[in-house]
Amino acid sequence: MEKAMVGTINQRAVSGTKAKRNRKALWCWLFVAPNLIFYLLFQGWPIVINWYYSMLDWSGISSNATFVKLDNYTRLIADPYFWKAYRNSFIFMLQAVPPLLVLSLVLAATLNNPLLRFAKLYRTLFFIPVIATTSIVGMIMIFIWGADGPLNYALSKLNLPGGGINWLSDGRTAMYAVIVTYIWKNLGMNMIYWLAGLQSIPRELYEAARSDGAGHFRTFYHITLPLIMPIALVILLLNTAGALKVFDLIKTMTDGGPFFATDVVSTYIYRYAFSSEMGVPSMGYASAAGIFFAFTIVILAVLQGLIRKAVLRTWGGDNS
Amino acid sequence: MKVFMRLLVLLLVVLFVLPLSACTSTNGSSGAGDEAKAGEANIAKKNPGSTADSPITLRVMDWSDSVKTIREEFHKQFMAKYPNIKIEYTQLTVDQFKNTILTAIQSGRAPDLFPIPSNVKLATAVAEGWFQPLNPYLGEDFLNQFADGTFQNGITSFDGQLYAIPETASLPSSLVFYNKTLLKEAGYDDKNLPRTYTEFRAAAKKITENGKGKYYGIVEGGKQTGRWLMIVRDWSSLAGAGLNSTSPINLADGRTTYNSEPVTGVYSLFKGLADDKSFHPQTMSISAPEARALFGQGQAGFIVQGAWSIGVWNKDNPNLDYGVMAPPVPDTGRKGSIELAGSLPWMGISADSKNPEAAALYLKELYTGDYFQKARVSSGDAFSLIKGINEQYATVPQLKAYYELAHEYGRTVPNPAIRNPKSPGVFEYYKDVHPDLGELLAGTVAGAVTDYTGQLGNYSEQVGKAWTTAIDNAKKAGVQVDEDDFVFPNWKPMADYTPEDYAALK
Repeated sequence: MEKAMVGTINQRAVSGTKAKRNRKALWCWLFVAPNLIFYLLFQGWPIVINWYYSMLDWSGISSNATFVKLDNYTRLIADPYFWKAYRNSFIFMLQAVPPLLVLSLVLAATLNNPLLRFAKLYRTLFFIPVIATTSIVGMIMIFIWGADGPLNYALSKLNLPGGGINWLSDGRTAMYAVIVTYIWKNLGMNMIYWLAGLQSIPRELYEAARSDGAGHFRTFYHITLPLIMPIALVILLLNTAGALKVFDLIKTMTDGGPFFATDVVSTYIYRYAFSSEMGVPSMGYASAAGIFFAFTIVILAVLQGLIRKAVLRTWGGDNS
Repeated sequence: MKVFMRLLVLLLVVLFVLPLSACTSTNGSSGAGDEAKAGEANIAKKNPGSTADSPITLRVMDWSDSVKTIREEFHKQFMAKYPNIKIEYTQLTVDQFKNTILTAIQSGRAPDLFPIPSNVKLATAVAEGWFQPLNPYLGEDFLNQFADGTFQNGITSFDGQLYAIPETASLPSSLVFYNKTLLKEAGYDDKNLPRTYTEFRAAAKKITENGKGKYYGIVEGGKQTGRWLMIVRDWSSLAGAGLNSTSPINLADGRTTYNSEPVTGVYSLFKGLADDKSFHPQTMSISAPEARALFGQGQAGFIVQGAWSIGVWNKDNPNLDYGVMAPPVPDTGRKGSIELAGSLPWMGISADSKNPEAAALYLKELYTGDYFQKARVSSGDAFSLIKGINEQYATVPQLKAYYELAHEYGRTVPNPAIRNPKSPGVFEYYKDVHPDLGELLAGTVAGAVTDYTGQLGNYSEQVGKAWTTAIDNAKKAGVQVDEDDFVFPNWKPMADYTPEDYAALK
């Protein structure tokens, strides 16, 4: 009898907990719903429909659309300028992300020092480029990197090499100029990411390390680095994705030039989707380029996820 | 739980009803547009600018930067005359416009009035429903004020309906302006100007040497590949290439020979100028208006520009001593002519415009009002298409010189759209090949393209294929067109192509 009562009570308790959990889950869904619905409408659906568009011979402005199966993909793969843009996207990412991460970490670690005076002011100063509109930054940078712009003027006054270079007009230097600008523009945001990670590390750990005689480097290597590794991988993922889809800065600074030297997949897609010379734009073809590139990024994201797991295992961090 | 369900239902209602209400509103406005079309007979009686009407905002977008000040003054006067109409004017560069207008149309946000982008045929735009016919809003009285031949079937009109009005009397935009002071310093004068490629290159080099970093031989808006394309097309045509803006093939023989000597000669000249460092160092990173400003400041000896620049320099750089000359020709001499396009379609009323009467009123004031055409011609910007204006107001010597040179070196070329008004339908099926002629020339000047002959050969081959595919697909889609519509065996590049020549082909 007692057992039966206990069983009933347990059942009630279990069903009560279950109902509570369901209610909680429903509330969670309610809060997620607006975002989810907007995501499905404005991100999910365009992605799905883009698959279909990529198999059409369609200008994007016409009611005439012919289903051409995988012809757009065949044409895309055969275009050396697509591969040039594809390669440039990765060159941009590989040359922009590592220095951006390192510099922003150094900056964040410096500004996280409680002994540093005016730290908030410095943070604000480094964050200002982030809130500046990219296209406006691009326009200003054309002037700064210009053949007779302030950069060349400073270089020549300081008798440093490079004073006479046409940074944005020369295919050998244009990409570097855009990358440097990109790093400068995004430094502040990454600094904030790192600061968030750094400030989550308990101060006691540093104090304990210092009392054990550890120097700055050993403290950084043995305490800071392992503890910020989970957030580091998230920052890496965000930056990789951001750098691969760079558009506005390149569009305004070089428009992919000179002669496609800074042409990335985004500008390539834009060129085919929204411009033409004698004919009409090729929205179907541009969609194929978008899908092809997105597929690459998905593969990269999966790889990065696997690497993240391996790294976290090695460093013994949180594997959540 | 009940609270949750209520909130969820409310959220879904908001999310789904809002878009529906937006649709309802759109349908309502399109209904208003239909009503306007239906009431064409009463349009003439309406005065959309009167204060009795509800306020109207008229959105206008184009690339007429050279007349910006005059245009703004025109808008001020227009809004004062019609206080109920507010003009929202957006001005872009040609390249910006090409992209922006397409996205505006795609998103259903086309301005009330916009010109046909230079890269799209009016036939395509009409077929796609971008513009609405102007005839219901612009009466014969208005149209009769334009010079004879302004409106042509296949160019500005289709099936008896007018869709776009040309902007100005058409002149090529590839003549060369020169700074008299810098040329004099380099040993040239008005009677002794560089005429051939070799002389031109030498003059640019000499000016650059004299400038010692302060000024250069030539400046261009290198960021706008359309400018480079236009230079190749016109300069190589002067050398006998037979290129034109109406099709990607040679109108005389129907072939795509972009690697022919007249074309490669232009590339060779520009490569030479780049090798000599005769280009202004900013050339590749600036737009055409920026290049024009640098020329105005005396930073270059030469610039290739259209007649519209004259008005800008005369206003902004009154001390600039400049002249205009024909483009240089190969050392072996001139073998062809620059294309005189005749009438070119420009401004039309968007098919989605909710205020076509107000838009038509804008056009009437722009062309036949008291201010704009007179001010434009007086400034030296261009020749007007309105009868009687040029005779009275075209007094700027550089504009007159430009006009005379354009007609000395330019000839009317055959236009497939006149021969067969259905022929522009092919361009709905034509896929541009990249890098195109302009991009290749930009690459040559930037030093990124060295084997331009090989690249041009490849380009010729790809354009040939794209053209054949376009014709085939157009035919399959029912467009009444033939390859021969684009071939004019009786065309002589040194002579105007006349109505008799069209007749002789039949």
